[in-house]
Amino acid sequence: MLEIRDLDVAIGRHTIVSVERLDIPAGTRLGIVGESGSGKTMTAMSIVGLQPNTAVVSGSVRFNDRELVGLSDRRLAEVRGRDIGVIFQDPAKALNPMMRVGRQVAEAIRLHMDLPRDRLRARVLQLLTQVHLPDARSLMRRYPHQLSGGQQQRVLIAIAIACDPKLLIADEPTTALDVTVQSGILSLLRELSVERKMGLLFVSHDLGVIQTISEVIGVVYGGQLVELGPARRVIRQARHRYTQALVSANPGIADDEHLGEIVGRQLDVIPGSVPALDRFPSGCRFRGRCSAEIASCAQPPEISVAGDGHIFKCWNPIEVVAGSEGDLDAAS
Amino acid sequence: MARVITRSVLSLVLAAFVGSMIVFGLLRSIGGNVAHVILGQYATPGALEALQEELGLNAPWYVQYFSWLGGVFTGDLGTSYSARFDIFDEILRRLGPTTLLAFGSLLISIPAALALGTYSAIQVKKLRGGVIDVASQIGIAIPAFWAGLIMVLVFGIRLGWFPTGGYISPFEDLVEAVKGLVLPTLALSLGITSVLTRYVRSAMLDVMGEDFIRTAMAKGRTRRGAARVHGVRNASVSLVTVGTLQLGALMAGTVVIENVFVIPGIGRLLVTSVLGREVIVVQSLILVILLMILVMNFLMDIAYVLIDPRIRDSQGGKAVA
Repeated sequence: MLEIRDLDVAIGRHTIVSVERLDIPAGTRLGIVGESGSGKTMTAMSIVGLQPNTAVVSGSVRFNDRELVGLSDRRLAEVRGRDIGVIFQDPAKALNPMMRVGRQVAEAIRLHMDLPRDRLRARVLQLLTQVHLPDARSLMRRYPHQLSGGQQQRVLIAIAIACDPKLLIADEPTTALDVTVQSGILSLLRELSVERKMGLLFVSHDLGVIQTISEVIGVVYGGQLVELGPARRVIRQARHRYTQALVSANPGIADDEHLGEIVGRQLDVIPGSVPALDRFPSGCRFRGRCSAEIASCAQPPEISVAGDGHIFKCWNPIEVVAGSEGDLDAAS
Repeated sequence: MARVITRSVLSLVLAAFVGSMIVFGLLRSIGGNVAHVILGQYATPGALEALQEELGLNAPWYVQYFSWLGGVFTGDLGTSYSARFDIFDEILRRLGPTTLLAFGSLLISIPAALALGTYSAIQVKKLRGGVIDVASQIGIAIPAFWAGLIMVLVFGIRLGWFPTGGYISPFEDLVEAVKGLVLPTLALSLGITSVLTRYVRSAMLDVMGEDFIRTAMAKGRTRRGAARVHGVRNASVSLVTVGTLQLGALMAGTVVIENVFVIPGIGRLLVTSVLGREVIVVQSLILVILLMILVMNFLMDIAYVLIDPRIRDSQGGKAVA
């Protein structure tokens, strides 16, 4: 449904994001994980032309065989909201503070459908109910600042799904929320995706969150997709050194049988931090922070296939022991 | 809402009261002997004495102040010394033209600034946006009286489209009244429009970076559509703030423009009264101008609340959980 090829996003002379190949088949939930500043948000936003004004997008993004890169703002606006919905990181800022909630939801419908007043109103109520907001009738008349963060994000989800889009882009939608509210939003997004067969592109720095919601996981480092594959494989059989480092830095990833190994142990940390845009080393961008560097890492890594939709870009990947408990290839 | 209005009215009354004291105090402290100022340096002691008695200047200052203040409410501000008109009636008569001029200019400036500022913010990278930006710079630099004179020259004398001056009450002849007000109103609003345009422009540029603009675009608005529907209203909050600060300049401009276009308003009376050394008249005129600014200020306060629901909730005390 969505096919990204050689997508580059540049600000000034610096290329911030370059994604060679990323597909989202219809109805698939894809999670993109990466550190802050890794360009994951920029990737997601550039799909629908919501990148900052200063960013220049090149390459190809095809949505149901329609090229999106290079479309005018007017043409892209027709796609946004109707075919592709978007929700954002900070729900408190994402709603217009001076407009009633009901009108903001109605606007999303009106932009793509011509409905009479009463049916429009019914549709708004229906949407607010679908995102599990109680008392939708009185909520419509409220202003955003009169709502809690979780309610605001639910309103934004209602806005994003107003026209039954085929794909929902969710950029760190739970980051600004409490943990309890977070899980509610996550299960809502999963439910909507399953019920409506709606694809989901979920961006987060939190591998635990990504793992909860995704069928496919993409790992981004330094603006590049370094590993992509089925969620279980990427977590359990990571090939890229960065993915592995990310997994072992995250306590939430351990399943019950491995819990004992983690409790009481210090968590692994990835040494150093993501360099500034113009400071990335040549070749593999993870060079310098990686524990398994070899000579060829000075060359840009190529895409290797680990089987069954699992690809990675690493010169010295983690070897998978054949026949081991974690070898999912043998199992499938 | 009612609470906000009550509070604004109270602060208006308080400000008017304090303002009247300052006006009275300033004029009495700089003028020396008021009768002397009015009669000039060749006045005889007998004439001075008689005028002081007539104006009540022999009473203590607080008696003078309160009798003046009382006069504001009872409609008795005394009589002009040399022109012999009733001051209260004359001010009432001249309030009309000034009010029309001042509010007319605001009614032009605010929408014009919103439109121009928004447009130049959206077209920020293009020539058209730049032209507005430069034009607004020039508009700020041009003095109102000069703009007025040029307009009289071009549209009044050369083209003959509008009268070059004078004033006709809209109750007498609406068409002629409007025609007469066009040039002075435009001349007066030029500077204010320019200042406000620049503020709207920078406010819009800020607002366009807000998340809710991105949300609007995600719904299917174009950047321009998002600016129109969601940007303008948010940017107008700062327009109201700056607009309030411009009210003083607006009234000062009214004084100048009334003299350029020979409009019998408060401003023209102020200038003739100052030249005629009519201290008593000047004192009441300044109070009237002060009151006009306070009333417009009050209206701006109300506008704030109407525009921004967050202010409504925080000030109106209507907490919604």
